[in-house]
Amino acid sequence: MKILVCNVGSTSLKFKLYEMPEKKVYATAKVERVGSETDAIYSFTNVATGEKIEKDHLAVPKYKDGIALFLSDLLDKKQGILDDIKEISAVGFKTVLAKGHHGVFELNEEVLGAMRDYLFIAPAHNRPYLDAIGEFQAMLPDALLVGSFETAFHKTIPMERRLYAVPYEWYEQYGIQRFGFHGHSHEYTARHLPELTGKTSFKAVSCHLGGSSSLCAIEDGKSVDCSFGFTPQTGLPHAARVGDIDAYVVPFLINEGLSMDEITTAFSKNGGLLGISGVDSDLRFIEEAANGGNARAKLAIDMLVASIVKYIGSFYAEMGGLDYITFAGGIGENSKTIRKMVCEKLGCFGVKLDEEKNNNVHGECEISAADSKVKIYTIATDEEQMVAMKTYEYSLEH
Amino acid sequence: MNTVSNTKPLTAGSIARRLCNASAAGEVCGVFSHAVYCTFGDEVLLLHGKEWGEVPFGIALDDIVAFRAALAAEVGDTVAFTERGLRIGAQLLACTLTAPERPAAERFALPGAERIAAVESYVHTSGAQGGILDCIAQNRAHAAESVETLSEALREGDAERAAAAAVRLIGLGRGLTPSGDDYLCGFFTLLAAAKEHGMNVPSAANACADAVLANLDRTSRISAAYLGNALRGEHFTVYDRAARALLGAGDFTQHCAFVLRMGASSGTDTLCGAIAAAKVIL
Repeated sequence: MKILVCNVGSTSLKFKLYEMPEKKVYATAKVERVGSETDAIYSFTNVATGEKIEKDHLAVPKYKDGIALFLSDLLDKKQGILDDIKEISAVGFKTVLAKGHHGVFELNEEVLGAMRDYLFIAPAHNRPYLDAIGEFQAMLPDALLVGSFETAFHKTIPMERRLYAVPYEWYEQYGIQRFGFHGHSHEYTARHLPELTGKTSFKAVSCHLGGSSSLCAIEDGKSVDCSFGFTPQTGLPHAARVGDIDAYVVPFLINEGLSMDEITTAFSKNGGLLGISGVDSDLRFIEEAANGGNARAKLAIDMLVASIVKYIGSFYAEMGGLDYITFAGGIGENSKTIRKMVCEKLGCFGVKLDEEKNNNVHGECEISAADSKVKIYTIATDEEQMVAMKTYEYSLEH
Repeated sequence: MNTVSNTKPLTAGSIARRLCNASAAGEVCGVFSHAVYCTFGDEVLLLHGKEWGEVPFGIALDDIVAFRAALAAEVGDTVAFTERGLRIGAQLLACTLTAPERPAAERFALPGAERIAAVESYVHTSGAQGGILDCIAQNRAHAAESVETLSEALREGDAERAAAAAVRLIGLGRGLTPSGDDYLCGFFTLLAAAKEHGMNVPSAANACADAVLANLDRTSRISAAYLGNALRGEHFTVYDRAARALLGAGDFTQHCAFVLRMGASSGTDTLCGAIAAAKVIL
């Protein structure tokens, strides 16, 4: 069964075409700068032949134009991938949040309506997905469109950690609770750890660190806590999003004369590592600035590390121990500095990094010292593969 | 110890000469194709090509590329001034440091909207991109608001508001000298040039400069060296020439073109700052 996975960003589209259940990838593609009339970039890779097509200075004003680029290459006889677009049985989306829906669902009007209901709290994620899904409905009318929501993996978080101490009626009436996100990345880690270690019973903290960052406490393969809360704005400081903050900051700032729009913009676009450092949202440039003596850049890094350590410490206590720490995501896989700083702070738990291994990470590696009580890994999580699996499982059941 | 031959006396800015007299010791912290940066405690020394003219914390070399190749300097090497010259690692640059001869300042007319618009158009048609322009377009870390507020508050004489906006720009952006710093460098270089020529510069600019100077730990040491010296009114030949050209002295294309070639986006960012300052005093 051929399943297409589409990852939608505010100005980007990423595609992977799978044969399932074999997990074989036929083709990958990426469109950047969607919305541009002159400057979009497109790349397509035929995985079987290794052939790569790269184009720039393209007009891709809408998602449908980017999707059309990819579909035309899939159908190109030279590529030999598809003869007919109807060969694509289903399209899976790494959707984020929909009111009352935390799992894998066909993207029908009810589910899309539930996504619209949460536009206010996940505008950067739901808006692009709603737009792109609408285009797929028109362009692939015979394919099953499936949303695998980021919140699904965290359904196992127990109620005492799931709920905020707000009036219980808010949970019932408005659904206010900690949903948790990055479910595909954390679930990939949860499913992969037994393959890596040979153990199915374990306590782990999965650190997905990137533009968005989150930590997940995993016990025997299930999520038991997550640093994300009701929205993806919470938890650790993100690249440009604020992370955890006292709720009363909002009414205080409104009283000081700021508008709700100014506050939410600051929280979602001018906070996090960018807001503290004042340098950039990309950690690579913040590290460079900190190494050059920029005190605020150093502070931003210290705050990220402190927040990671704080969550790992609390997850350790909640689970009553810790067997593994995993690092994934752009920062998790690539920043030896952050991994080193975090692990040094966790020395009291018996966490000990092998510096040489940490300095020479390529993809998936064990980087803990031989005498470390907690094993440490970097993991190249494959979220698209998780979505493909979920979409495949859903299409078999329905 | 190998000695790098140098037959001519080298010109140096005031800070470089002071470091030499103090026989200070430091280390090489950045080696680039046309510049070598060394740190001496909190101070930075720049070895640069002589086409840069005078840099207050720099020593101008006839051939920086050949010098760099001869030294094969690596980051972390020690640097020291000795009686025989500048020693970097196992190499010695025999040198006599002299103050540069400055040409008499050209006379120039009062800045006009036409000249400023012409320079602005020149900068943008030169393919200016990235840097502060990206930060402004995306309003990254409130860049757009800060840039706008800095100019507006100076016009209104609101020193506190101007200072807050300027401080927010320190360290903003990527690279050796972040875009926000380059912008402020251009901004205050132009104000200094205008003041020197007897033009009316908003008094709030002094308080604004003091606030930036008090917050230089928000950026890298190298960038702080550029920005701090610009704010203190030290003489940077290339920036000064561009600022004067913007204010009406001679052909601006030659001087602005040189600045535009500096760094990845530093030149553009510096000129953007200078243009904004020229608009403030117009």
